[in-house]
Amino acid sequence: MVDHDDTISSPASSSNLVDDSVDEQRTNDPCLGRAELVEYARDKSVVVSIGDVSRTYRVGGEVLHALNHVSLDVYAGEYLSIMGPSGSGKSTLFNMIGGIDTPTQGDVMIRDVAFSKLPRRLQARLRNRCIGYIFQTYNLVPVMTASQNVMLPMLLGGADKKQAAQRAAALLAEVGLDHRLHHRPDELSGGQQQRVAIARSLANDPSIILADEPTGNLDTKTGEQIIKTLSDMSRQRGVTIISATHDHKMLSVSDRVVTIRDGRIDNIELRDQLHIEIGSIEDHVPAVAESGIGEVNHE
Amino acid sequence: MNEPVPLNSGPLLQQLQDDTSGLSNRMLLSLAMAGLRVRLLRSAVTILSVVLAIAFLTYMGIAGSIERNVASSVVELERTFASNSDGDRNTSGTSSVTGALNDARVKHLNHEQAQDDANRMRFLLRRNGTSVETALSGSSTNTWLITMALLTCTVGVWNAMLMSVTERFREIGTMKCLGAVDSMVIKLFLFESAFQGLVGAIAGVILGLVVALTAAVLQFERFGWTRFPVDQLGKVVCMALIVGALLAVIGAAYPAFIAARMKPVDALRTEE
Ligand SMILES: Nc1ncnc2c1ncn2[C@@H]1O[C@H](COP(=O)(O)OP(=O)(O)O)[C@@H](O)[C@H]1O
Ligand SMILES: [Mg+2]
Repeated sequence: MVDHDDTISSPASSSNLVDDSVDEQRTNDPCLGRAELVEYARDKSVVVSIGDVSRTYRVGGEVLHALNHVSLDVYAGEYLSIMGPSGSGKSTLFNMIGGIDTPTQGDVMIRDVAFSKLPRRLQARLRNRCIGYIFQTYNLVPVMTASQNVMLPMLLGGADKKQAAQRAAALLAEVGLDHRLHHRPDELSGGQQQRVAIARSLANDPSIILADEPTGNLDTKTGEQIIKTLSDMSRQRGVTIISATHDHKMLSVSDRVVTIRDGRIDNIELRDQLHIEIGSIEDHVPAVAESGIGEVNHE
Repeated sequence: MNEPVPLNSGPLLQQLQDDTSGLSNRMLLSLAMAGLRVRLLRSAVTILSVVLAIAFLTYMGIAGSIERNVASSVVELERTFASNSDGDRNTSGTSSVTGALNDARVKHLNHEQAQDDANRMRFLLRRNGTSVETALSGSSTNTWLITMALLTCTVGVWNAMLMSVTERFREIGTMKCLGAVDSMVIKLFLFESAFQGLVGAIAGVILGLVVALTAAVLQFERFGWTRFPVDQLGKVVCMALIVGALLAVIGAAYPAFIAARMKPVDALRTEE
């Protein structure tokens, strides 16, 4: 299906036959051979393929493995949560997938494109057209209004100013901020800023939304609303969501949960499995019982 | 509206290569202007450093010219005075062939006037701590002073630019995540700095002229007006504007380049 070896070579060019790629390169993958995960992957197309990615930092002569041979496929339209304690490498993985940082080893493929092998100009275009970013710290441009912030990715993509303004207004209305179009970030609450960020991430109709602890700076109730908005809007549009979190409430909306620990994939669970294995999760994380997992049970 | 690229249809790479739409220069300019307007205080500080540099440059240029004009007037007047007395005695040169009595009286009046002016100007020059000879020789201390002041100002402008870029690293990182290409970041800062440089230079020229003129009138009385170097004005103003814009652009170029080349992750990691 992808046949341009002349350009950027993609040894693991995305294929619907997930089984092949599993055999080829996923030696560290804990899901290897697990029937329910293979079943889950059936008929799904791979949007992001993380192939044996490592990222090491050199801190004062010592080598720190923030990511240690991580391999993972992300499927079109799924809501994937990356769980793990603080310092486990979630943000590092987020940066790798979003092309914000380059792997020390291995490649992240967005469809048929290896991010790190693209020229910088095309990297920018890929980020602009295909990926929406949501950060824990919102990262709105402080000197721009909510509306201008949402317009920015469209303008960077060459959109007409008037149309961009209209679309920004529509998106902001959808996240419930139609009365805050011309407010600057410092005039908005944290939850409102994150809503603007959600609207901005959807500005160019991306196929992937990356969220790094989007609720990390918000109180429980606001966090829940943000997660609901994010998952509702992405489901409507069929957007793939990859969200790093250590908040167990996020699990209730996730299709699949990847747990990482010390830079390695520790476990992969499907939504249906979550309540089956609830006992074991509870052992590790006592907080689960009163937070999100209960909702999963209903579904 | 730019078409979203559906990842599921066909080779993404091809689509990325084909879709070349991007931020227009006009939009970039309006982004830069909006940024300047919002960061008024910060840009005012940067502009102020350019204003001072250019005002100084203009002042030195104009003030030096006035001094030189006054000095050469002295020489000129004294030469006419000398040649007139000569001409009266022997050659009665071509100009005074038709010289009537009236002419001679006028000449005599002018002659006295010229002598008074020359003496007055000599005195004023001396009062300002210089002399006809020094002023005419185009003292090297001035050039030295101007060079030093310009260097200092360049460093000042550079510092202001560096600050304004580094405090926006995070914003730049965010913009890169949203799809800003390197050249856009560079252009944004160069637009901003060129604009600041021009505004600063225009204000600086005006300030420099006002100060130079006031000082000239205080130092050389009416001669400050009459010996004003109108012919030099255009040259000095043009040079000041060019130097002002260059100062700002050169000051911004390096930090802008650094910011543009930065990996998004490094830009994002910096504190707001
Ligand atoms: N720029 C860096 N330099 C050195 N070490 C880093 C850097 N960024 C992250 N790390 C280390 O990598 C590990 C993973 O970090 P991170 O991905 O931010 O974790 P998480 O997002 O899960 O909290 C941590 O041990 C952290 O200290
Ligand atoms: Mg993190």
